[in-house]
Amino acid sequence: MKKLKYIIFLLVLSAAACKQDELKDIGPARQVISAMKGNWSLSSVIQVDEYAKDKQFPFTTVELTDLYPYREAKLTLNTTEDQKPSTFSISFGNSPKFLKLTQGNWTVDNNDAPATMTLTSGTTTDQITIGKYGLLDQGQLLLTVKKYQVGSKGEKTLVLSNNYYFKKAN
Amino acid sequence: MKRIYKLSLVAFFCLIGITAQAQKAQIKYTVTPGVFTPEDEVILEIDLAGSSLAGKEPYIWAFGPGDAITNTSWTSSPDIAKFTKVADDKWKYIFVGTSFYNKGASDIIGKPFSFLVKTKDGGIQSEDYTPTKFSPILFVPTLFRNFPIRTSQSDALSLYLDQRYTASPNNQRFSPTSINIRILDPAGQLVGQEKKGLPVVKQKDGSFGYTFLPEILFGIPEGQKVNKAVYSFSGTVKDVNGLTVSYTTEEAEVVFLDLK
Repeated sequence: MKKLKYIIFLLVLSAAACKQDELKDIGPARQVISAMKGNWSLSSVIQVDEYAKDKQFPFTTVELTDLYPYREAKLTLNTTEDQKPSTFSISFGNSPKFLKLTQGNWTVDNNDAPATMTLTSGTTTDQITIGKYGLLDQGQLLLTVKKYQVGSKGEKTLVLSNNYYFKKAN
Repeated sequence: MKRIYKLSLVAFFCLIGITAQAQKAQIKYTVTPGVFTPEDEVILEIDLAGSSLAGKEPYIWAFGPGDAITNTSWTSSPDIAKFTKVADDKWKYIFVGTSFYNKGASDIIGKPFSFLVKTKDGGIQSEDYTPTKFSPILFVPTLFRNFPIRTSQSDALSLYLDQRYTASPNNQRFSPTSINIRILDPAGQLVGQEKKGLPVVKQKDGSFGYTFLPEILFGIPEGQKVNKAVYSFSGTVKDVNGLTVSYTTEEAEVVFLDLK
C-alpha cells in the first residue's frame, strides 16, 4: 500500500513537471502554383510498369528519353495575378505528342496542395498527376500521365504510368 | 468399276467434310481485358449478327488448358454454358480462369484460352477461336518478354529476347541482330507495313531489346484500332558444317489493351 502511494506521488510529480514545448515555426506554406508557373523544358521520360511494380516483378522502369527527341518539348504554365492557374501552352517540336492538347487552360484539384492538374481546351481534356513538390525547389517539375485498365464494374486498376521530368527554362 | 465406286465414295465423304466445315459460323468477338491471368475476371462478348448462329441462344464450349466446366455434353450444353443477352445478337459470358477450368492457376498459366460458340444441341457451331494465352501471376522469365506487361497502342513498347530461357538449341546459340514486327487490327489485318531487320540493342542483363512507339514506327492513322503486335528476332547461327546461316525465332505477340 505504501509502495502504491509512493508510485502515485511520483506520477503526480512528473505530470506536474510537464510543460508544453514551444513548436518551432514551420515557415510560410509552400506556394506550389507559383513554383509551377513559368517555362519548362522536358528533360527526361521514364515509363513505369505499375502492374509489374505492384506484383514486385523485377522489371519496372524503362528510360525513353533518347528514344525520340522528347527534349524538344517545351511547356509554359501561366497564372493569374493572385497565383491561380490560368493558361498553358506546349510546343512538342519533333517530340512525340504525349498530350492531346497544345494550348488552353489549366486547373488543379486543390490550389494549396495540388495533386492533379487538368488541361482543357473546349471539350478535350488531359488529366495529369503532379509529382513530388520537393523537385520544384530544385527547379524540376514532374508530371505523370497514368493509364488504367477498367473492369466490368467500372473499377480502375493502374497498370502503367509515363513520368515526364521538366526543367525550369528561366 | 469397283475402283470408280470407291473413288466416288471417297469424294462424297470429302464433300460432306467440306460442307460441314463451311457450316461453321464466323462470329465477331471481343475479350476484355485482352491480357489476363487465371485469376482475372474475363468478359467475352460475341456478336452473332450475319452468321448462321444469328437469332439462336449461344452456349460456350471452351478448351485450351483442358475442358472447361461448361463442356459436359455436346448435344445438351448445361445452363452454366449459356451466354447472357446484351442486345439483339450481342451476348456476353463472364468467367475467371481457375473456376472456369476447375484447375489451379499453375495448370492454366501459359495455356491458350480457346473457345467456340454453339447452340445447346450442338447443331450449329462457330469456328474455334484462340484470342490469347493466360498470363502468369508471378514473374516467370521466358525467351520473349514485353514491357510494359499491360500496354496500349499509344504507349512505348519494349520487346526483349533472353536466350537463357529457351530449350531450343538454335534459340540459345544464334547471335541476334534484329527484330521483325508487324501490327494487326482486330480483324487480323495488317496495319501499315511489316518492319523487318530493326536493330536490337544488347541490354545489361544480356538480353536483346528494341523499344518503339507503335504510332510512330507504323504511322498508325488516327482512329485506327490496333489489336496486337507480332514479332520475331533474327540473326545468324553456325550450321552443322560450320557455315554462318541466317536464323529467325518463332513468333511471339503482345495484345494491346484499351487503357483509359
